[in-house]
Amino acid sequence: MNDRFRSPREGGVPPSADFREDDDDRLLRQVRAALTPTPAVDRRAIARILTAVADRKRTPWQRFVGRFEGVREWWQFSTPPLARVGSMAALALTVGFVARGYLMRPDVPVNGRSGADMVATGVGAGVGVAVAAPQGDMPPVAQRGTTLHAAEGSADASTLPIPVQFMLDAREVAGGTTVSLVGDFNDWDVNAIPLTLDNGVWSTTLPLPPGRHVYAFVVNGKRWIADPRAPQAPDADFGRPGSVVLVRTP
Amino acid sequence: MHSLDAGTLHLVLQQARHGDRASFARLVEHYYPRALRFALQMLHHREDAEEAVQDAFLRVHDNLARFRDDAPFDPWFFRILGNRCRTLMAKRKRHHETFEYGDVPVDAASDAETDIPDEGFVRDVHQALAQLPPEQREAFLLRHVNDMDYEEMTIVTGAKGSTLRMRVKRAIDTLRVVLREGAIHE
Repeated sequence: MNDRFRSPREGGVPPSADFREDDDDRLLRQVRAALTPTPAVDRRAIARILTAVADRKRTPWQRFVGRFEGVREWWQFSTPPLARVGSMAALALTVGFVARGYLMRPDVPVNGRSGADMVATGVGAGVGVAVAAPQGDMPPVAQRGTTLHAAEGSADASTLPIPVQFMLDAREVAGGTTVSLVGDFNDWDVNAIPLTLDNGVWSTTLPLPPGRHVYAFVVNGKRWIADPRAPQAPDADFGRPGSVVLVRTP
Repeated sequence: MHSLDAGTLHLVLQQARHGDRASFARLVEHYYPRALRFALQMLHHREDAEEAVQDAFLRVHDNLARFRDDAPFDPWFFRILGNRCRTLMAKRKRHHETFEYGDVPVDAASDAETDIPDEGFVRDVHQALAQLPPEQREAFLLRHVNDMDYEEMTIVTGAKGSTLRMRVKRAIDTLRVVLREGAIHE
């Protein structure tokens, strides 16, 4: 029998000093020699592989998924657990943010109708916002930088008026001493609904029946401007700018 | 004869990539003994090892067309095989965990179905090898049985060279201790 394969019990035990030598010591050579011989090969196993390969029929989808098997195994076996948890959390956050952005887009159709035509929103430091809120649940004057949305619900469910807040950032109308609200709800009367200035925001609240309304602001009784933060009305009256607000019941 | 020199192997690989079944069969013949040895030493179970090798060859067949012509084949192949072995080990572990505690030994080395040679020092070595953590066992086998350098081992395992060196060193240290203890106890 080859000395390298001799069992320690058969007197082939290397001196104890050998166990403390470098990796290429005698024991390592013996271990390598013990592990290097290839096992007996069953020819039927090779035949099975070749048969499986010949019979392998995969759909395009299986082929596509199969391309990512290596990635999945790499992720499963070569990524530290902490990194796996982190990447999963990052993925969940990404999906959440994307979904949130999609769900909150005002131009996404809501109940089969265009959101841009139905909802007026304002975002950012310059606030010029038209808000439709449910009756009895009127929010306080909108703070700067706050996003406000029209209340969701069916526009045809009720005909009761709903308080709507109109706001305009004073910086949008520099030099303006008076601002009033005109629209199809007050026969475009310049003097009917004046806005009040508070903390740099012109605002007013009035009840409006559910439905679509076109409106505008009038500065100093002369200059008509559309709400800069609301959808523009395609049917501006007599060439004057106008904005759209859709009032919906909660 | 299924042993191929480097030039012939390259040619066979090219032909297999283009769908030549005879060339693929030669590739299987060439790699099967080493693949089975690696899988057996990783899994210590003949059926699992053969299953892992078969799965690996099927994956090689499925992805051979996308294999880069200038890339070394061995690391790529052993990466696939290593992944299959790890998958089977994880599956086996899960399977054992489903049994009531005490019914089935979880340790592969103590499993009655293991394929460990039944002869002296070789048996001792295989038993010592079975006691190593899988990642150390894999690193040791790649380095000292399959004669890979650390660059190739990085491709196979995805671990850094320094990590692999540490795994190999720890594996050798453990083997030393286990084999020495075995010798002393005798």
